[in-house]
Amino acid sequence: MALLDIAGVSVRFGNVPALRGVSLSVDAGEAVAVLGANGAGKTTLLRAIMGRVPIDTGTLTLDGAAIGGMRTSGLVDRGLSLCPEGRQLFPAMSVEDNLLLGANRAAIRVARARLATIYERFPWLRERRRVLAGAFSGGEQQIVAIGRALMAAPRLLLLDEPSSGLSPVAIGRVRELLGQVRETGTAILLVEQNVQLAAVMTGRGYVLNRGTIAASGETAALVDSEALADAYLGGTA
Amino acid sequence: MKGAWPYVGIAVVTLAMWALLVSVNAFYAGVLASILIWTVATSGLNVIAGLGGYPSLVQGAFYGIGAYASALALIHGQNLWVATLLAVVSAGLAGLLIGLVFARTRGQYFGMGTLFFGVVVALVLTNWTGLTQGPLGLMVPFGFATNDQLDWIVPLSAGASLALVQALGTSRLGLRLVTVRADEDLAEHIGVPTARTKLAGLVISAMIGGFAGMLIAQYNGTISPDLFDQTVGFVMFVAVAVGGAGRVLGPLVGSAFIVGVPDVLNLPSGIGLLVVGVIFVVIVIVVPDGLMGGVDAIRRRLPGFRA
Repeated sequence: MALLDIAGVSVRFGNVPALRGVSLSVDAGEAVAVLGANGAGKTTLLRAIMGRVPIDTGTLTLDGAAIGGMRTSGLVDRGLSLCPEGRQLFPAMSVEDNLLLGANRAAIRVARARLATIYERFPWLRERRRVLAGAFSGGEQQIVAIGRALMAAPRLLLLDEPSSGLSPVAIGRVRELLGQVRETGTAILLVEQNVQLAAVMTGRGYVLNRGTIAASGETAALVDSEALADAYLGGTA
Repeated sequence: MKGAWPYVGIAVVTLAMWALLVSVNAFYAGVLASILIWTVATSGLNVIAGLGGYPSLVQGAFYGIGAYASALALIHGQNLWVATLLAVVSAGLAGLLIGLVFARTRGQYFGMGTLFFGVVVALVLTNWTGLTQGPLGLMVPFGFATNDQLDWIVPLSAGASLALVQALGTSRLGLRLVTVRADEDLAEHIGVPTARTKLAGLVISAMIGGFAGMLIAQYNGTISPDLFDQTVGFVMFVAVAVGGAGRVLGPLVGSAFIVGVPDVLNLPSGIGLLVVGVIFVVIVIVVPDGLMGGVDAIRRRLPGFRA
């Protein structure tokens, strides 16, 4: 049974359809990519999974239990955690507080214990834990943002364009971190425009084009597919 | 031991206040006691308005509910423990009611909603004459053993309220409240139950406000509705803003300016409000984060600063 199962999900904003009958699944411990250009509905898909936008039709299932219409806080309790697009840290709060907030569903002692494991992985974060998050570079902020999402101890980590706006070196660090996340058995749903990163990080993927799934299969094969070229170059054929 | 230092600081401040209270003459002791009781009430407000960033203008109503609830309990023959419990619980329930109605509104709408509730409470206190004797007010039976007890209970209460906000600020609820202030949508994204967080913050604010009401009723010996009308709720918000919203010592510093300056100058209440207004405007322009925010900004520039 899939960890996350999305079947025929549609979302509309007023009269504008953003997602039309999207179906996809992620197994426990698996890394899955969703590729597509700007405006394809990638972020909307993640927001729908996290209960941030109401779904029109279709079902969302986590571990066999329907999660459509649940509150975000309840979804975090059930093992979903989102690292939103553009990092979205709290810039005026310290790095440590930002990380602790990721575990805001857990008792403060549990949160501290998880923080210790994050610091073990990134000793430089411990050294700079009192620095305001807004003072970090984009790449550092992305590490903190992923760290914050991991503080929720998720079974499925949802990542929205973790490479956007980052230098190649910073993307390398993000890739390294995500590799470590995979080794811990956490499943990943990676939404990306950067197909190279997606191809390295994930085995399987979907191409989202104008709100529908245009293709699916092995990520490496999708990268060279016509469906992806169409999604990016906006052909109408 | 870094985590203990703020509490040591609060303890030192509390001791200093106590020493000041018992050594100055009766006039200044009265002013200082008013400041300290206001510190309790505005520390309560500092939870929802300071940590949570929600402009609650209803703290004066919680203060009044606490004062009247404790006074009525004492009048009906209960002891001070029961009266205090009743003050805290009834103010907390009022907070719960307001929270359930307004916690889903934001910004100025929340401010207006709470202001409206403050007006309603003032009207009830004025017009439910069978219970409150209306504008005449109530004589409050003295619940403590001696007058001297108030001399240490008032500073201790002020210190305890500051310590409570300090503890809350580093708790899970405090962190959640701060995210609500910083970016409520983002807070929702990472799973913060914002509506419940605001509700909890408001109820805690209300309970502390109710406790402060019991103190002022005991200290004054008489209470009347004008002590707790919507203007009071508004001025309490101003005191928190002047002292530094979300800073632990902000309510003490803010109350010292907002209550202390007009009282020491012995100004009539209308002129006193005018002075409060001028202080507020100057502070907001010169140090937008309040006086304690200004202190933090100066400390950051000092060499060897460690946050």
